Amino acid sequence: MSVRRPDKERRLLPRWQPSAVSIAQGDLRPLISRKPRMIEDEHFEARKIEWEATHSLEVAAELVASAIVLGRIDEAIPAARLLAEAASDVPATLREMARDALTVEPQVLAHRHHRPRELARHSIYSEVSRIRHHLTANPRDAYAWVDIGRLYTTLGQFEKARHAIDVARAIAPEDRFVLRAAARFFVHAGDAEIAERMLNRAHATRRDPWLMSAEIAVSQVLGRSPRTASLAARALKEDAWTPHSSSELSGSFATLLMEEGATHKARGFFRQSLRDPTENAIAQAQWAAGQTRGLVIPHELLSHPKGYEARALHDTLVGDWDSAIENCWDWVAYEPTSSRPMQLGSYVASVAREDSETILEFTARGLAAEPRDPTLLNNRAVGLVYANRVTEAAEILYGLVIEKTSEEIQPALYATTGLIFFRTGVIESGRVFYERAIAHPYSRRDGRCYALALWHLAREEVRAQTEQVDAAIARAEKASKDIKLAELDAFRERVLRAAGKPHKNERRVTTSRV
Amino acid sequence: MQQNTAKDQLVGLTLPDGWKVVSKVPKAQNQTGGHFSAGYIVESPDGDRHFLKAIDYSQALASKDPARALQALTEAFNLERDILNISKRLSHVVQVVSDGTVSVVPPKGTPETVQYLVLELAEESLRQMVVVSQRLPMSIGFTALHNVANGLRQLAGGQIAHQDMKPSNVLRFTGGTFKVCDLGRASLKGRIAPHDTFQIAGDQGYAPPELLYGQLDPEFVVRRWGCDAYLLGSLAAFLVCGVPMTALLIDELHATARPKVWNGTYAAVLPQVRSAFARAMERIALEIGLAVPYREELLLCIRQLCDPDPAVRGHPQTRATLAGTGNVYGLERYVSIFDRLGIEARIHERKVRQTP
Repeated sequence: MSVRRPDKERRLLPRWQPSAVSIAQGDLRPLISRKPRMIEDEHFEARKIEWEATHSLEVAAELVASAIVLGRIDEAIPAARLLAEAASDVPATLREMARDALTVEPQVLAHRHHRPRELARHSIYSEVSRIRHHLTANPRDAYAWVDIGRLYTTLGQFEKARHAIDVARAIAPEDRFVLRAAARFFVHAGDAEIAERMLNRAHATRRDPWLMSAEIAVSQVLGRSPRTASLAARALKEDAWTPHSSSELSGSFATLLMEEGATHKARGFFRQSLRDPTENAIAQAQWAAGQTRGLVIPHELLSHPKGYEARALHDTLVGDWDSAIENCWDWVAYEPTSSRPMQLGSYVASVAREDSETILEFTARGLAAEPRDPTLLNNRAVGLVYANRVTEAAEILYGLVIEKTSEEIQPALYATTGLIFFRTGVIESGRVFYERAIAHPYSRRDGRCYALALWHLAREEVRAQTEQVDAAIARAEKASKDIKLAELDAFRERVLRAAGKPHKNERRVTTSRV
Repeated sequence: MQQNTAKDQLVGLTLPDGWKVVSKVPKAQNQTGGHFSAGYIVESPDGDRHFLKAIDYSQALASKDPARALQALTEAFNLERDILNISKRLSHVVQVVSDGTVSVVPPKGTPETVQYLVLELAEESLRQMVVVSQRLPMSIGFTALHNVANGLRQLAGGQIAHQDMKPSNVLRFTGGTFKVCDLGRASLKGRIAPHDTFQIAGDQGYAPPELLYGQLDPEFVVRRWGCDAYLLGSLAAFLVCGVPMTALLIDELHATARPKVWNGTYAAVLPQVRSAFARAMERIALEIGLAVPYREELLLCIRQLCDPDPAVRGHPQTRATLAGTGNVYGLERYVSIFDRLGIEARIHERKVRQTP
């Protein structure tokens, strides 16, 4: 049985994007917006007059350079055009600068849309090599250190990544991008304590909503009460920052309230987070919409260009499996340091589709960065069993001590062990392990997990054509009576079809709450 | 711009100290700013030609706040004259030969007094020498950088910061020597200048980033000499790719982090500026090309001199030696480096010429 861990709980941890992407997305903007100010300069005025008189390349170069510095490029368009169209004997820098000036939007290092089903290690290594070369010449470029740390994390080289992050922190200990990326890294590396300490030490955390949001999320990971919560509550009430700057803080604070049971208040802050949201804030609200009633995510927000996670969660909620898997692939490309898209993708491919190929693709990609992630190991074992590679599946689980893994994964690991026994013909042992999964305290608390375990057992009984098929199905039906879960419906339908039983129009079709 | 005031009427006059005003220098060709001044070619009784900078106060009287304009103009002129007098005998700073006043009768109106400075006459400015479509040989570029570094070093020795070092303020004299000129925006340590209250004393298009973002260090050393060091590095960048460092840097910055819209502190934007600076340096490296022997050292000089963080700008050894005691932006080491690189560039250019 695969694990449905990704959207069971979600913290609004900062995304870790390349610095160029974070800058282009506006995540490093000042907290309060201001109208562009007019910078007066007598030299610029004189250059304009001289340009009108001469129309020479030399004056054009000087005028365009000044216009860029002063932010008055609209007053130097003809000069920029002359340079941009100049012959190749004009320095390339000058021509490029003029072309940049003529583009309406500044250069945006856009995130390339691609779906790397496998980790393209060679291209990551060449990018690592490029940044290392850059750092030799520019050792004080904190953003480049963070960027190389991200690549090392993608490759699963945590020691090198930690060194890069430490250098970046030493260079820019109060910088928003550096602190957020470092917080994300330490949580990812299992050192949330360091992330919390680092954020609490930084003075910027007391005044920057982006960092407050990170501090709240990291504290939630550690199960502690965030230090900035009261400060955040006050500032959000006063609406002290631009909606974009405070969107993640609103989402984090809402998640905190939701955990404390203040669902009504939480919904209000989720709505506040959606005024000018980051895609991470949209994903958080979409996640919350799956956990509570009455929260409506406007449809147009789900079409955010980078809203892969939000769409994947939404598609999973409404049972659009193809789209969910595609969005998970996009999410993998967008956030290669996170194992969550691989977890969700492999889970959907497993429970809703029993698609061994896709499960194996997702888990291979995730395990390349996190080779010991028990969720991915479990899901890979399931994929291998579905691909009739039972021995390999058993080898994967052989090294895992189930009791030492986290509680919410244990039922799945027991069920997967049961699956392996069933598929190797040792049915009694298979039943024993499935029963362990069903009786596990976590399954007892979580009706979805309980029902899924029962349906997985029923499927194996049907597949093995045992005498317990009817009893197993009846038990699973009873457990899933009040549960509305699209993948459970899909799984149930497959089992009933295999058992030759009526399987349609008997349960209310699960619909989106959004 | 008002023309034909007293300061524009000097052609044909003989000044009290014997200089004969020969012709007027058209401003647009080599100067920007300075609406209260005009330039002339003057000739001594011996036939030596010099440059005359004339200022009249009548335009100040026509401004919105005549008292303040007059005060600012007078203070600026006096400061420039004093600085030029302090700079006498500095081999790489344009020398003042004489100064005085002359009474002029404009076509309409009453006689007005014009104050003037007579300065050495150059052949041309570096700005005029740099043709966009034709690269200046770096042997000449390094000579200019060596001479400018020397000029700024000499000024710093007299407790002066230039603050407006740009191609049009570097003049070439007979024999190929370069000198720094236009001390109208210079500051003398310990003396208040009218432009001290300006966020940026010189040309904003060339200004160091910390000043563009409004980080004004109260220390003369950091704010003024730190600016001079940056401007020297920016001049080197200009000689390589035809664009001063400031424009390259701002061009590499995302629109949301540019000085025009940024409303946070300079410390908050510095990592972004540094990242942009690294990309700007990559562009300069591409322009220098791979095959030149001085490539790495020139890049290092630009990187050190233009570092966006004034706290680490300049030569690291000078900084280590003089930290807390003197001018950590001292340019002595760059004087020698540019001199040596000039020789390397000359040898390289000769080799290239000899290659069939």
